Amino acid sequence: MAREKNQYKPPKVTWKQDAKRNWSVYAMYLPAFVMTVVLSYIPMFGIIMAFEDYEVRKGFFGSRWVGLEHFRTLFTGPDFLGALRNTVCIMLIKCTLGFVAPILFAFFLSMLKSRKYKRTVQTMSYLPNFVAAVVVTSLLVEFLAKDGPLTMLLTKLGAENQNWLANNKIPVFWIIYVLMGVWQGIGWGSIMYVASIATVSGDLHEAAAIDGASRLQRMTKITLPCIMPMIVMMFVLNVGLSFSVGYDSILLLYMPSTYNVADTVYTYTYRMAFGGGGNNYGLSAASGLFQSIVATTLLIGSNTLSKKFGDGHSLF
Amino acid sequence: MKGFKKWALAAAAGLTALFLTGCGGGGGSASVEHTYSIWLYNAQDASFYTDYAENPTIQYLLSKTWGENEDTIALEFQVPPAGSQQNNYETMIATGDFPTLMQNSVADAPPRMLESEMILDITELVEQYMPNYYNLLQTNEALRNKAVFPVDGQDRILAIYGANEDYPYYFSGTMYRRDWIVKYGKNPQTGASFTGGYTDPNDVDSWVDDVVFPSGGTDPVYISDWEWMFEIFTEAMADLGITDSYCTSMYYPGYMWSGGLCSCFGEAIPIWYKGSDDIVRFGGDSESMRAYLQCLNNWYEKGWLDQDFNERTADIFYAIDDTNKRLGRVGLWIGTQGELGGRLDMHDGGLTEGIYVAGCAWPINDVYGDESCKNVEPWCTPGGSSLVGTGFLVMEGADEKDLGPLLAMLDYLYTEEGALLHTLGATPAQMEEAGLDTSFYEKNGIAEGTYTIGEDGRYKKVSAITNDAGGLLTASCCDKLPGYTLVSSVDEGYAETYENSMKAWVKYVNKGQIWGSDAFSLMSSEDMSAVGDLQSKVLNYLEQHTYEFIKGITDIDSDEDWGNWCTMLRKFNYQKGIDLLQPYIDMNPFIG
Repeated sequence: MAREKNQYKPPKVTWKQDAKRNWSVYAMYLPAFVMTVVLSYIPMFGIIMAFEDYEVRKGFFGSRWVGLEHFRTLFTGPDFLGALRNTVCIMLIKCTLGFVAPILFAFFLSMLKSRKYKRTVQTMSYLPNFVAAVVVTSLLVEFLAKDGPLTMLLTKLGAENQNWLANNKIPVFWIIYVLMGVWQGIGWGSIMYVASIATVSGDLHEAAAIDGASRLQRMTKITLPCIMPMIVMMFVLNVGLSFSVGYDSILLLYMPSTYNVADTVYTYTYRMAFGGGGNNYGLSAASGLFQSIVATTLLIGSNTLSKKFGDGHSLF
Repeated sequence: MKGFKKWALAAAAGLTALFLTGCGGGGGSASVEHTYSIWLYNAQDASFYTDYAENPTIQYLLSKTWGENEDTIALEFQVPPAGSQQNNYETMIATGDFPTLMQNSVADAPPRMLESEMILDITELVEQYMPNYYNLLQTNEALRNKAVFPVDGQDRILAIYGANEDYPYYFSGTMYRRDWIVKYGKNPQTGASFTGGYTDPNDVDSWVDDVVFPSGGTDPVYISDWEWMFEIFTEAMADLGITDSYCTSMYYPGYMWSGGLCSCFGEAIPIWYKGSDDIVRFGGDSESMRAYLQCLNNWYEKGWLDQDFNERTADIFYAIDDTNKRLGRVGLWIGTQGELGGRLDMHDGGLTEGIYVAGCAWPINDVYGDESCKNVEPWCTPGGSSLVGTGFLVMEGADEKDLGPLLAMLDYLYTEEGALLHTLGATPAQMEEAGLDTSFYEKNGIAEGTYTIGEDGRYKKVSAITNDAGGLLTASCCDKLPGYTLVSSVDEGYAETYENSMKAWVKYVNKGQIWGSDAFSLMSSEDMSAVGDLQSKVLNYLEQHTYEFIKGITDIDSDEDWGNWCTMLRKFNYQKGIDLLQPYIDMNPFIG
């Protein structure tokens, strides 16, 4: 108790006093604040489109109010359930296979002794992240075509010779899609982990090594617990974003004969809203709102779970 | 520290100001009464000039005076970057910052735009300032259907459309390897081998042969002619050792919903269309569709049809499996002008050596389905050719300017003299007379202009224009503006064989595809939205299941499978689409 009484307490300062004292800091924050309001909050008003038969020329206030009609159209659409299933499955694979890959990569990188080699590998691993989706998908189409090099390799290994992207059996497309994402994002996704691993005290490793711990043991008993808060934070963010899978890449990779396995909520909405020759902005907005709500729920849910089961580590 | 604070504040203020400035529109400063802004859908080839106002014919027009008061005018052209036209249009709507004239390639239908007070009703303006255009509207049905709409029970002019003297040639169409027919085919009447070849090895169009098709003519007309060709192509490919190719491919869904081959089996297309009796029908579950699918299934089973057609989703309909085609491994395909004659010959001793490609029209079915599906001319054609050219709308707010001189200038382009300028551009002599720079002509190898007068009295394009693969003619004339375009009065300078191919592509013009037709322009927003939603669902189903019939995954000859298909399509309530579209077709049945 005595110790608590003696603890330092900062003097109470009102917001105005703080602003007056640190006005330059507030001034530097201003652009970010304005940008967030203008680009993130004001456009939220556009959600209203989800409840209107929106027409650009009539605007938000002139378009016909249709209530929940677009949601009804979306949820009762012929292929909605299939698209939702594919979205969830791809999300799950992304959150497991796709999430673990950059962590493992970061671990392996951290264990490399040659700094020059490490930097070279790191830089090379970042490059695919900067390749446009259309280029990546074009490469994939070529590699997995009937006579593509990857297909040839798989055929040599005993698989059937086929255009793998035309395979509409579960879970071929899902795995191809996630592996493509892993290839493209493994380097970029590992940056945070590499930085986090670098902050782990060398003394701990040294002490463990003296005690006879192997490299694997040091990795699992020291490095992993030390970077766990970072892993949890990235996981929570990843879960939230993972639901928004597949727009540009899937549109470029799928074909009508693989809609049953490749169609996601995004691509399904795209076809329904813009595939009939007209532009159904209302349906598109309704789908966007639905996906945002699901993503936010997942984000909050995963954060709660990580707080409960992850030693109190959470994003917020 | 104090200095740092000042710098920080200045930097923050600067960033904020910069950001907020970026949010605003880039307002123009043109306020002169006779300066008009014109929004164009796409730009000319930038290798000639970057601003359309630099076009020599536009400069020539601007050097003249227009209207009752003989005013000079200035034009400012706005061209959005390629691919962003729709966004640009929507930004204009959102900001209300309209040009004086706008090409209506991405805009909504004129009546709906008038209702939203986005465009002006130009009836009185046309009557006053555009007598030539007005007279043309009275006599040209196709033009009238595009530009005149009923408003409050009265016919009103809402748009300025270009008019074509005749159906102009189209840039793409079906074509086949005629050299294979000569080499491997036999005369169906006499059984004799064909003879033929190039009369001039350096002229890609100098082909002569004695090919006769089973239907008796020198060009393929019927499906049976096509199948006769496929047999020959199969033999050719076997002889040439081509084991992994095919006679022809198909657009990846298995059809083109706007028409083409699927409309050769008795008018129908898989969605809604207008029949020759002006009745709206849905073709997805029609006997025509079944006959079409039976045909494609047969071609697939025989190996004539590309076995992987449904996987080529990235290919444009006129460039399906382009590499294979250009390597000379395909017999018949949809291609472009630049692939006709011997233009694909790579002179490398490969499969394109000695190639001769001839254009052909869509075929008439004489093989599949019942009698209602046979001997009916192709009814719906994709894209294709039209008697009406580009349309323009006079936008809201334009009446703040004196529109007389602008409209008088545009009206001039509907006169005989103006039509020549519109189609072939000003001559260097005209430019000199007007005191204008003629270096454009010298620089681009058309020192005498784009045309001469031929022996038959027609305007003959000079060879530099005929042989130009780029946009030299477009850069020279002013056909991006509305006006009268000469077609039959112009001798394109094409070789006879080349011109025959081009003629074949416009042998059948679209008569039944409703989407984008004049009737469609009359639809209310609600009805259009309802039809659009129905169409999305139907196309979504068709895309996923049509290929199954073609590939034999489901049996097109089985009444049960066909019945299931029809039942599924009926579930989309296509009758509602018919009920919605028919009243508008009744109001304006013209398509063409």
